[in-house]
Amino acid sequence: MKGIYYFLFVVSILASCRKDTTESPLPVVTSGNLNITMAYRFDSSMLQTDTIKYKNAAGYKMSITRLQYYLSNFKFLNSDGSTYSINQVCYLDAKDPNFSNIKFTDVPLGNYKGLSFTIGLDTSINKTYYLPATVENNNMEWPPAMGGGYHFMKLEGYFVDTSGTWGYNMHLGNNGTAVAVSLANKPFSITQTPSNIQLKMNISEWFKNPSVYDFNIDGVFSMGNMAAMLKLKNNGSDVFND
Amino acid sequence: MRNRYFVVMLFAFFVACRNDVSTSITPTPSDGSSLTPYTLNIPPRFPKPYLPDYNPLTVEGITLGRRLFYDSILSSNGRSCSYCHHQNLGFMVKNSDIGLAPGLYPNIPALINEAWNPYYGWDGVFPDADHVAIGDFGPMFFNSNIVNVIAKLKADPTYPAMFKKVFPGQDVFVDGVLQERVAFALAQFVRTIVSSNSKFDKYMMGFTQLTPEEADGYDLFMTEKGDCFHCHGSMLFTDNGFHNTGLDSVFDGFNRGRFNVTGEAKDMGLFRTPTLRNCALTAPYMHDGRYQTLDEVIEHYNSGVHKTATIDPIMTLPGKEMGLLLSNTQKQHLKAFLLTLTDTTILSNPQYSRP
Ligand code: HEC
Ligand code: HEC
Ligand SMILES: [Cu+2]
Repeated sequence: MKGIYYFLFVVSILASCRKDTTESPLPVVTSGNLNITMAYRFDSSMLQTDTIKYKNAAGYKMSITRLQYYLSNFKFLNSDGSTYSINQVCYLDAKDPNFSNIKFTDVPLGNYKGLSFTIGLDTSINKTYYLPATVENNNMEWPPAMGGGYHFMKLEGYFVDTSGTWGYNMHLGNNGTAVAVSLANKPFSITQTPSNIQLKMNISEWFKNPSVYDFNIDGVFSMGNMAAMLKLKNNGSDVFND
Repeated sequence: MRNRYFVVMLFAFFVACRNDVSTSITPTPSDGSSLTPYTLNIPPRFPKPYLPDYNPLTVEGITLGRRLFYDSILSSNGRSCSYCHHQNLGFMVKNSDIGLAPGLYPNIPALINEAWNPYYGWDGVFPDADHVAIGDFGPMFFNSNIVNVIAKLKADPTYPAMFKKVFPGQDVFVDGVLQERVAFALAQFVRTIVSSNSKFDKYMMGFTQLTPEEADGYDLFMTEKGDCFHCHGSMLFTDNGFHNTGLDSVFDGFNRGRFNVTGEAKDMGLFRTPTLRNCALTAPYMHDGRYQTLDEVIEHYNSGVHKTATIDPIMTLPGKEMGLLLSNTQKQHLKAFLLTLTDTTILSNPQYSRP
């Protein structure tokens, strides 16, 4: 482990420089910028954190105190069936305005019919110390003793059952639990002026479709519990459906 | 505890005045001054430190800050910063060992890796390091008479030139201005105190091995069994977040923690996670110093957690309503791991010592 410590450190520095692709400047503008704004709801209500006011599919009243996650592996779908891929890992935090936007620059101009992405990290990059040592990335580390890499998501809060109020921690990580999201029908255009789209996560969907996640049956602490994480993963693919 | 709020109020007062003075008298490297920029050593895997543009690190500023840190010239009671933040004791000291009245002061924090803190004070009442020391002139700490302090500094053979160098073109010897300039220089010095030379660091770099006991403790720390890493993770051994770790079931005074700063119900009893680096040297523990030993701290996590409305969700693991249920051996191993975070070099590092 420790032997490759410095090696990984160097790799992560290189990784953070990955975006410096050298392209000779063209006189004609062929690319534009896309700004994605993240939004959150719980079924029909806009998310308000830190209040026990939502009801999940299993019937518990619950709150959200933390929602931090990665999106990666963005692919924009062209109408001709080709895709434009972006090699960028985006950290998001529902409570922090500094991490509620994604900016993509140099996207080829055109009309796209949709996009796909991953909630979490691909196996190839889900490695301890792969990401640059920012405060956020460090706090998302998934200990090597539990498989290494990073948390894909931390969703935390409280829920109420007949016996009282309890904490829950839906932590997703470990290879095999990243969530593939496909929004084939979300058209947007990239023009010379920056474009904006919104991605809205319905947090309620983590706990249903296809299977109801019941804190008292499936567990309030998913980290290290593969069955719980796989259930969340399977529920997660439609959290960004409008 | 009322006195502490006086300090905080004083602080707030100076912050309120900050805008009037800072912009005009803050040195910037571009003003043609001859200050030497200082590059902070950032250990492997540490994130970017918080270094504000309005108080950039300079060799001269740090030199001045270091001298002031050890100098009782700022006080009327013989105290200096080092009186409470003693290098040989890990830049802290036990309240009762210096005769501070019980319960009047929070537990004195160890000043290490402060450059990485986004907030200061156990409840994060100070938004930056640069203004913390302003409150230290108050009755609870230095009980300074600013007129006297200014007279003493002016009469000193070297201070006037040092201040002039660090804050060129400014009259710092003015009540209100002086406190802020002193605090800026002190913050610069404090930010240079970096601890990253523990056995654990050497292990991470492949220079040494952990004993089987330490390795087992590391595993407990880093897995859901002990589950310390969610808050004390990565190389800083703190997430710098605020949490209620279930120390109390009723909250009053300083124990209300972050609530005292934000007034929000969700913040009742939350405190900023302290680093665990050097924790073997920095007893007592917690914001009020209620635990004298690491064994007591571990026992708190093992069996003493109070469940209240704001307890961190992480503290309510399934099947652990009764606590972590660690065996005695596991508790010993967890402690053995905590001891690998000790960095004795900072206790005598001449870079940080009395000049
Ligand atoms: C009488 C003892 C005492 C003296 C003297 C003292 N401090 Fe402190 N210091 C404390 C206590 C107690 C706290 C914790 C305060 C809180 O949490 O509200 C503290 C907190 C701090 C912090 C914030 C640490 C953190 O991580 O939250 C800094 C920085 C600091 N002191 C610097 C200084 C400097 C610089 C001086 C000299 C001007 C000084 N202190 C003098 C007792 C003292
Ligand atoms: C939910 C977050 C959280 C978890 C989990 C957690 N801690 Fe803490 N820890 C804190 C906070 C916050 C404090 C300060 C509490 C206070 O002073 O009121 C603290 C204080 C401490 C201290 C005292 C440090 C000092 O300088 O006073 C030690 C030692 C410690 N924790 C060790 C551990 C160990 C060992 C574990 C795992 C068994 C652990 N912690 C789990 C958040 C956490
Ligand atoms: Cu986790």
